[in-house]
Amino acid sequence: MTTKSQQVSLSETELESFGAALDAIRQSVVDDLGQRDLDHIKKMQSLQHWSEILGRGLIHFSLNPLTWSAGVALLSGSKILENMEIGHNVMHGQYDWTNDPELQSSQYEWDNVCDGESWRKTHNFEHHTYTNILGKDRDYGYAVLRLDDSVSWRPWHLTQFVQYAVLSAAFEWGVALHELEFDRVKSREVPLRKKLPFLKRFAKKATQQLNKDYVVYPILAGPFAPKVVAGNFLANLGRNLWSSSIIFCGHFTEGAQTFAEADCQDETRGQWYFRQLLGSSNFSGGKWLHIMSGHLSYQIEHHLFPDLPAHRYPEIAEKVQDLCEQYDLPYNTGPFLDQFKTVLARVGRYSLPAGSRLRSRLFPELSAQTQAA
Amino acid sequence: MTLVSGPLGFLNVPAVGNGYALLSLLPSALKAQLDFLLTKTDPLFGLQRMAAEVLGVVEEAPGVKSLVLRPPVRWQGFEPGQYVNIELDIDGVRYRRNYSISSAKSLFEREGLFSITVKQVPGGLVSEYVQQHVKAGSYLYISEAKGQFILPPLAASAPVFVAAGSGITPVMAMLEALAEKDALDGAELIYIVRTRADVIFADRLRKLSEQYKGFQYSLYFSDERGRAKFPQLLKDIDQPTCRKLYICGPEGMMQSAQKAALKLGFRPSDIASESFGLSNLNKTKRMMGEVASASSSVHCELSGKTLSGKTLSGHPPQTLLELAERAGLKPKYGCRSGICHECSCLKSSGRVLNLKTGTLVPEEQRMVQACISVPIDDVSIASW
Repeated sequence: MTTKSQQVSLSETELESFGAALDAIRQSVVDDLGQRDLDHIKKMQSLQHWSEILGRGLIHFSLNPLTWSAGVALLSGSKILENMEIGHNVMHGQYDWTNDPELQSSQYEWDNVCDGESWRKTHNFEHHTYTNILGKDRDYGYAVLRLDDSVSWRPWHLTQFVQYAVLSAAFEWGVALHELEFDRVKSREVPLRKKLPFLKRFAKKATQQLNKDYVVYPILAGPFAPKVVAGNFLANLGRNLWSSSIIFCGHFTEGAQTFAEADCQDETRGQWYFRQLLGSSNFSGGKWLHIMSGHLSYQIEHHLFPDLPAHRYPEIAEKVQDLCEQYDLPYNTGPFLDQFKTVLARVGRYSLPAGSRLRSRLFPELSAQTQAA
Repeated sequence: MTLVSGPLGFLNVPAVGNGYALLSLLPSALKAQLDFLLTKTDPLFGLQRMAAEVLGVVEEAPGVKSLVLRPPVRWQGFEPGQYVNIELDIDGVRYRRNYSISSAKSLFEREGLFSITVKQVPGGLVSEYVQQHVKAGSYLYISEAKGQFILPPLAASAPVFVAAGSGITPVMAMLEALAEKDALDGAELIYIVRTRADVIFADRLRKLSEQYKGFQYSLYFSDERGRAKFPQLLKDIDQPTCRKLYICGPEGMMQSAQKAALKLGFRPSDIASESFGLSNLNKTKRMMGEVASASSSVHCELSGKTLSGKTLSGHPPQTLLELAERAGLKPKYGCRSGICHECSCLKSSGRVLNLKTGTLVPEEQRMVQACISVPIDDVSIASW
């Protein structure tokens, strides 16, 4: 398999042994799954509940802007924890092995307007199977942003920082409507009636979520309903901005590579692992940054092993890094802000057409410096 | 044994139990938070799951322990002879087993308690865990009482009980229920155990036989007299044609007892039995040996929203997903290589081989990925 931006390649036999080594890492974790993992996720659930109760309580009963703001921050944090470390990971099947009905991927519904079933299809299946294959992975730019020259340039791409800001602020709605494939419906590639079952599910889940944050809880506050509506809105906004930033750092950083559909046909398991490694990027930080990102700070490990409990990624990462060194493969990581800057640079660069002088001056292509770690 | 109750146990009264009906009217957003707070206060208060507190552990015989349980107030009680599902987390994995209720109904009516009796099965993960780790103060999850192995509403005329090993547990509850109604006279119990030390509930049984002279109670020790031969054991029972017969024990024993009983004139509709399948361990091992050369066909029963009532059949090593598609069904799937869990389905019985790991998926694991699961015996899918 060849890659666009950087020539890293492994021979067929190397790919096979590389795949086998990753399979072995996976197996060693599977064999070790137990109480520790259940304890971790239960602790996270407990923390999420307490922060939600405390946050909503403060929003309701706050006497001054300070306590109200603390409530908003707590509720936002609780939503982030639920979406990132609990919901996203449980829905990946990371805890299916526990047999705990509250932790079953197929039954879990998260605190997000995106319907769980839709998420499992567009994210677990499409994005995780076709990661960074241009034209196949609809998460690559979300059909809104131009993040690669394979999308032909149009004048409206000039404002793509604005599109990006809007997408980030309304991220849960973008994700919820992802399955609609609005661009393909608009171009009549997909008839709208095929999307009706999805729209029904979307409407149901969105109503539930809107009801919860903007009807039920405000009503409970009686005359103070407006400050609850405002608080809940800000908590959702905070969660949206945070989760989109985390997720953009996963595949759109400078060193994260893209692939052509033709290159990925009849992939072996080793090739699939190889693509996941090259198409993903990590960022470093403290324990709580990892937890609040749902361990998507270990995007590489997450893409190699999407159904292993995410809190295991730090220990897995050590082994993966060793393996990368052994095969002389890039392992894309760096501090959060550094990685995020390269995401913004990418958004900026591809808002301009290929070959334009302005582009090469404003957003020079970063060369090998960020590629290898 | 002194019974202690948990924190706020005094709230565990029927009036509070009825309050739960009102809570179900709450918006679901609030219910989740309330459930969390209630469960943190006392696990028994949970809205979603029924927890029970272990109040005491009683050693009944070597390797046999009774757990005295305090169920939540909304638990609806039981008929003697019924069982409950018990769920516990062992090393992060939730296991479910069925155990018969071994206490008298009066204990529940008086004090709101019941007990289950667990015999240690060699190599049995759950029974071993219960023996070693479950203590007063532990919590486990329970279901409502289930099962049709119960006494008829009107006291039966002199029922006959045949129990072997831990199969005495539901029978004990039934005998004490009869005693409470003063209907034990004329009843008969044949209790088969391996050695004298293995008799469970020896004191309770002796008390009953002393109190009710018309209650015939005989023990059979198989290490002294050899394997029980039912045609002989049952031949002295009077009027078999109009008595009810209750059999409880391991599968093989029940079959031979039933065969002998039918020959002696018991009517098929008067025979009730409850299986205490001991260990499936040997069966599992045998199956694993057969996997490599498996050529026998397997059947899959499907239920659930979309595929209800369908049956699949085929030969290993076809995956569940392939079998379903071959049958013209269109189950949901994604990557077809065990990555995305889109095809996950809930298995209620039967075993499958995981193609990704090459290992047998244990009976306990209920969620399976259809695209990498090869059924190796008859499988039922509860929801897909």
